[in-house]
Amino acid sequence: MIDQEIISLFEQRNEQAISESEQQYGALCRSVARDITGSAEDAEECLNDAMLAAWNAIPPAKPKNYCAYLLRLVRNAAYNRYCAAHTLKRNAANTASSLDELAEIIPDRGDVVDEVERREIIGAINRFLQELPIKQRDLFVRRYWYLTDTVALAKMFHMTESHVRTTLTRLRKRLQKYLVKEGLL
Amino acid sequence: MNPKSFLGMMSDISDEYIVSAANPHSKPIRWYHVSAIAACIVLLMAAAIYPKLRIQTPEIAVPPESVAEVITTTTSVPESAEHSETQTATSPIQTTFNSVTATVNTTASGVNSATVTETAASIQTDVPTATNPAQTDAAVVTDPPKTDAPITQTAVTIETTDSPDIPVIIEIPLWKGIVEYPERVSESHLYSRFSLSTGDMDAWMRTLYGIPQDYDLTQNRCLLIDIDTFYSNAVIIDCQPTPNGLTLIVAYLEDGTKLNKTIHYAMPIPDNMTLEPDNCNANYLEMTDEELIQEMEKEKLELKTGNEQEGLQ
Repeated sequence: MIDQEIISLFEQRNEQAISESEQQYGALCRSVARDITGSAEDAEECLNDAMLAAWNAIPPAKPKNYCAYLLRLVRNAAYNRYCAAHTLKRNAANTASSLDELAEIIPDRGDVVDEVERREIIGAINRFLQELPIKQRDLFVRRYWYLTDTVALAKMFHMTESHVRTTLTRLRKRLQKYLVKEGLL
Repeated sequence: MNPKSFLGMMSDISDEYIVSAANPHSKPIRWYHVSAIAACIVLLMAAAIYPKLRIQTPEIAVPPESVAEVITTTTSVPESAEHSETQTATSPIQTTFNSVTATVNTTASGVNSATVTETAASIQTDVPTATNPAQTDAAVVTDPPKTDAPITQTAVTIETTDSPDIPVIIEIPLWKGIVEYPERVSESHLYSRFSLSTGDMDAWMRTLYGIPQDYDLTQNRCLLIDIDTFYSNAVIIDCQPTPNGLTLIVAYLEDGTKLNKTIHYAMPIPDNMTLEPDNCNANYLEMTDEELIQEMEKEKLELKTGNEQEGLQ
């Protein structure tokens, strides 16, 4: 079933939309949630949370890309769960290592980012990603959006782990330069 | 902003990037791709090199052609000379060597002068009659000679003349064999021994004296030379003819090796020569420069002889 048909089911308030979504994107969503939370149980809960959020949001929301929309819901749910778990001293290795890597280029200033600055930063990230070659962009997104660990990335992109790390290091430095140039760091 | 908030903001990147990264289309490098590329490179290289190789034919060793040039020169003919007088030069030089260069200088009793330069193993050249007192040049090219002699031989150059004043020069190869270091040698400072080869010399003996393996000892003979040196180094640098023999000029140098040596040489004897070991001896020339003495070592000797070489036919 294509995305538009699933969205139509949502709009018709047909519960089949949930089952179709899970059948279509369940595995992908679980893997994303599992990478972020580090737990299969948390990932399942995240998926359920995302499905509920989609059921509540559609309609009136009408996503252009349902896959990305659902993945974003899953990621947000998983990331929120990670942050809550991190507060409770639980840890997910992938997320923690991603945060450590980003800490190299983004200093913790402790200030609050307002909505305007947030939009500017997101726009800068999008432009930065647009300038990257597809493979490097996918690698970057996989690491800092999906929070996939480097071993899995090496297997996924047919690279050695050290090559993955080196590439990510260069991309981070490049992003830092880009954000500094944009006046966002 | 901090890393955690940045990671949170990453959630809002474009859908395009999220979907693209969900199914990365990175293909592994297949080994058969590498092999195919390598094969293509090899084929390209072969295609580039092959035309060059094709036009390069291997050098074929062409046996030396025998060329006999006959130059008849008539000079200063007195008016009183009889023009009917003719001059014919025939050089019946026979040798087993592969290549023979013979220069015959003929003085025709003040009337005609003929210089004949020939290269052949077996030479029979008739100089055309010089009937005209005017200057005449003629060149005759004959077929290459057939010979059974091995190709390892170097040339023998014979200069001969009807006049006893012009010497005959014979170039004879000098093969250097093995230098032995026996415990004892002759007590003499330097001593040379001479002997003749036999037809049944085995391969070891040939190697000892440096005689090429394809040299036919049953048909040709060699003069075998042993130079015993006592704490010195020696090389043959020249030779002079004696009746039915030779006098070798041996340069020697006192060296610090403190080793007794026996240096073996062999020298093929042309058919037209007679060499008796008893008639051979050596004269020794003391040198002081080791490098110079090494440079003086010869691979062939020039034997300058007039009619005193009785063995020369």
